[in-house]
Formats: sequence, structure tokens, C-alpha cells
Amino acid sequence: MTTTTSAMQEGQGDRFEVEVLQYLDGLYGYAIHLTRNPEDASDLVQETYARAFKARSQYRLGTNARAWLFAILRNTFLNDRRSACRSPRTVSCEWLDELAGEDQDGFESPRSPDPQKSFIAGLMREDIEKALNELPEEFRSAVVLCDVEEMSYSEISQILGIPIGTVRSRIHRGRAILRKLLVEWQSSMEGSGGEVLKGG
Amino acid sequence: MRCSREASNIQDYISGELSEEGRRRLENHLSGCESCRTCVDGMLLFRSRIRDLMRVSAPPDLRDRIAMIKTGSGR
Ligand SMILES: [Zn+2]
Repeated sequence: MTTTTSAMQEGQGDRFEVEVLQYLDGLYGYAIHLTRNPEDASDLVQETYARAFKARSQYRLGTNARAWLFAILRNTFLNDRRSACRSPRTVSCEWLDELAGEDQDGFESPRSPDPQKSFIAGLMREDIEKALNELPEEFRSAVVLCDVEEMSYSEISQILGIPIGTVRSRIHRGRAILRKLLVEWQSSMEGSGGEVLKGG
Repeated sequence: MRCSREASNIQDYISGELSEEGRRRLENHLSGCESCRTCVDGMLLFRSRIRDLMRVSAPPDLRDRIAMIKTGSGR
């Protein structure tokens, strides 16, 4: 697997491109979650590919191109943001714990499955986006990569540069908060209709 | 009430991250516990709804812009 002569790399060019370009949609989706707007997302993805093409010699075919690209994208985003604002925002864990509460899994079962189904069917893209935006980046990334991009904990751990156990707890807590916010918003819109979902 | 002991297993099950044995054990539990089953069904539905709603396609002009870097960088 260590075929790194320049002759081999020439031949690998096209395969490399095919391999990295298949993740364009996923990268763009993730970029939207990070930047929160389509123009910045496009710029970020473009920059990611520019860096990936430049760094292609560091990449070995057959290894995880997806994790490699997503990590480049996230690092690019974080570096840009760091240089844009002097003081990096620190995450308030108290706020998170308060939101997640003791109910770390966030899935209080209603008496019957029907209210649960109608809650889920009533979810709108904008609501989910808004709820995801309430999460600190570390949690948002973990949930989006796991639940939207369907990545494994191990891939996510590579991308975020954190241990798998931390990935796991961020996903568990992130989902719980997401769900909690969405249930709260939906029940406040429907008046008494959502009470059954709040549980105890 | 849902069994709190299973909460974290259920989360990993939803993520597809339980070991073969863990999965067998949980599925065994689910077959006899309605509240956990309701919880799992809800979480699976929630997850697939989020996925369906949040999946996007990159805009065509971005594809073109990336093709430009490709041809611009080398060869
Ligand atoms: Zn149970």
C-alpha cells in the first residue's frame, strides 16, 4: 500500500479525483451546518477541494477518503473562524447540562407510539436547522456526521480529533438536546397538543 | 417507563455501533419490553426523518468551480 513513487501517483490522479468527488454532496451539507449559509458553504467546500488536490500526495488510495476530506473541511472552517474573531468562543457546559437534564437519552416514551409519530412527521427542515444551530459546534458536528451522514463513531473520531468515547457522549447528549428543543417548540406552537410528549 | 439501564445501549444501537453480542442482548430485551421498543422505534424514525430532511445536493455551480481547480492545479 505504500506505492508513493511519482509515476504511480500520476496514474492515481483520476482515481483520486473520482474518489474524492463522490463526497461533494455530503461535504456541502456539512459545510452548511458549519457556516449556516449556502454561499459560505460553497466557498468552504471549494477551499477544501483546493487543499485536498494540493495535498493528494499525502493521501493513500484505499484509506478513508471521506474522513480525510471532512477533517480538512472542518479544520479549514475552524481556522478561518479563529482568524476572523480573536477570542475563541468557549462552550458553556452548564448550559448544555441544563438543557439535557438528567434525561440523557432524551427519549421519554409516551404512553402510545402515535403522538411520537405525529411529532416526527410534523418536523420541518427549518426547525431542525434551528435546533442544530443551538448546539455548540462540537455537538452539532457529531450529530450531523452520525445521523445525517451516517458515519461510524470511529470516522467521526478521526474527523473531530477526539476519542471515540467523547464522540459517543456528544452524540447521545446532542440528540437529547435536539429532541428536547424540537418537542418544546412544537408543543408551544400547538398549545396543549404536545403535553403528552413531555412526559415527566 | 423506559429502562434507564438500556438508554445508552439504545443510542449506540441507533447509531449502528453495538457489537454483535450487544445487539443480540438488546434485541432480546426489546422483544419483552414494550417501552424500550417504542423508544427505539421513535428514535429510528426521528433519525431517518432528520436524514431525509437534512440531506442536500451541492449546487451545480459549485461542481463547476471544483472542476476548475482540478484542471487549474497541475498537469
Ligand atoms: Zn426496557
